[in-house]
Amino acid sequence: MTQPAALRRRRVDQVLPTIEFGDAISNCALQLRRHLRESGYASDIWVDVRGDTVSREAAYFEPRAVAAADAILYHHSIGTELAERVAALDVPKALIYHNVTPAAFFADYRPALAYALDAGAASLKDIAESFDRVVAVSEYNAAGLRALGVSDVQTIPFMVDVARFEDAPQADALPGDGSAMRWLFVGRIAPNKGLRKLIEVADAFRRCCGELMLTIVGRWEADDPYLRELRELIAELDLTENVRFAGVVSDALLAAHYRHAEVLVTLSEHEGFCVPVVEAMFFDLPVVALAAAALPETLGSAGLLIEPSADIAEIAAAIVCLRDDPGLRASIVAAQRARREAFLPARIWPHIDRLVEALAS
Amino acid sequence: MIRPNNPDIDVDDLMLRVKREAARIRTALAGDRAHAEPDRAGERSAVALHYAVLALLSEAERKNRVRREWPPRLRIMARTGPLGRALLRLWNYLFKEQREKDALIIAAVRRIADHVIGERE
Repeated sequence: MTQPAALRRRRVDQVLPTIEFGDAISNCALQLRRHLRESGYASDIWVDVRGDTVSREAAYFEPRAVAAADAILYHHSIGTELAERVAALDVPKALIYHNVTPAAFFADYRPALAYALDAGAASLKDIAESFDRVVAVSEYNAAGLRALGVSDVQTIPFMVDVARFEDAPQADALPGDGSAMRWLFVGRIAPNKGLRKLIEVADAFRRCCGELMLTIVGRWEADDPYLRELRELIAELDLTENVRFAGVVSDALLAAHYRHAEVLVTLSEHEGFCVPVVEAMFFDLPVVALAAAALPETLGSAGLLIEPSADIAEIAAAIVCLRDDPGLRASIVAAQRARREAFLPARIWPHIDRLVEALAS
Repeated sequence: MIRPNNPDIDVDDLMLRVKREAARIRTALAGDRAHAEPDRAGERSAVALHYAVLALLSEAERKNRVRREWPPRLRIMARTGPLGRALLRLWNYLFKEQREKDALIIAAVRRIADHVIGERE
């Protein structure tokens, strides 16, 4: 016998195309599920693709099972049939828009992905209109939606789960790099992340300003032509001893990288939010970032924002100033400490609670 | 080139220092390059094109494989047991000749791409 609605726990499920270890949207969904369960809801995650290490965290999407939920939160970041299938369900639902990377970045490297991204962007307005609520994780994303004609968009900043670093055991100390300045980049190895430019800046810095060790932490695929191109560039510039790809790392090791580094440099040309810059703020790691896409908004008055028109010499010079001027570093870190407060769960959860309450009731 | 987002930082002073340092870096790099090999921009773009062609071929190869499972939208077919497997075998049989032709075309284009990049090297 079915329990009367008033007696059973209300169920708020999440749907996303892929769940992967170390992926920002996956982390967001997991943190959101934890919060929903702690708030008394039943909550599950449904996906189309599951990474091996997190396969237990989510089930494959089953329309009939998901349709039994009282509300659905769908995380949108790529074109997939899943979005249409969720849109077709007769359940109160919210679209959480994480942005879709412009396909042009991938056209020369991964045409199939470029196609999926194009499809994601093209179908966005239609899909958004079939959801009861539309949420963007940044004002930048919200503006993109409004430009498409989606009128009622609410902005709720990304939920950045830094508690997972506190819970993680301390990783072994990272190998020392002598006197080399330690640069860190965290993010997927993808053409929109500006890694080619970052490597060229590293080359200029090493030739003219001193030794450095650039560690690139993030997911890569062995047969990715973009990765091969980066490796060729590194070899060509004789930087094989100065740039290392760490791949996807555990939370403990990622925390160790944040603690060990002297600067987080991100020259990404397209970001819908950029979680690593917020994580860096929690480790008092100064951020140097290109003032592109959502990065100025996420950083606010924190970090050192470089205009996209800056050339390689100017970016390297800005990092030299940061290295040589403790006062500048202190000002940046102080601003980051203030800015990071905006991303604490205590600030975000009330917005989420109101959204879920409105949907599930 | 520095965006004045932090009121506690004297951006004018910082810009001045960054410009001075950038000028020094540019001069040093120009000196370095004068001793280095000639401009390799053309070669780099040929390499990028080569990788783009390889990416397309890899994708074509991936799509040209014998299908071992149903796509997500038809995943329900996987649960029909013997019938689902039989239909999958029929599907693979119907497209066998097309797969073979596509494999030959992919191999031919790969050989051309490798030959072109080999010539440049």
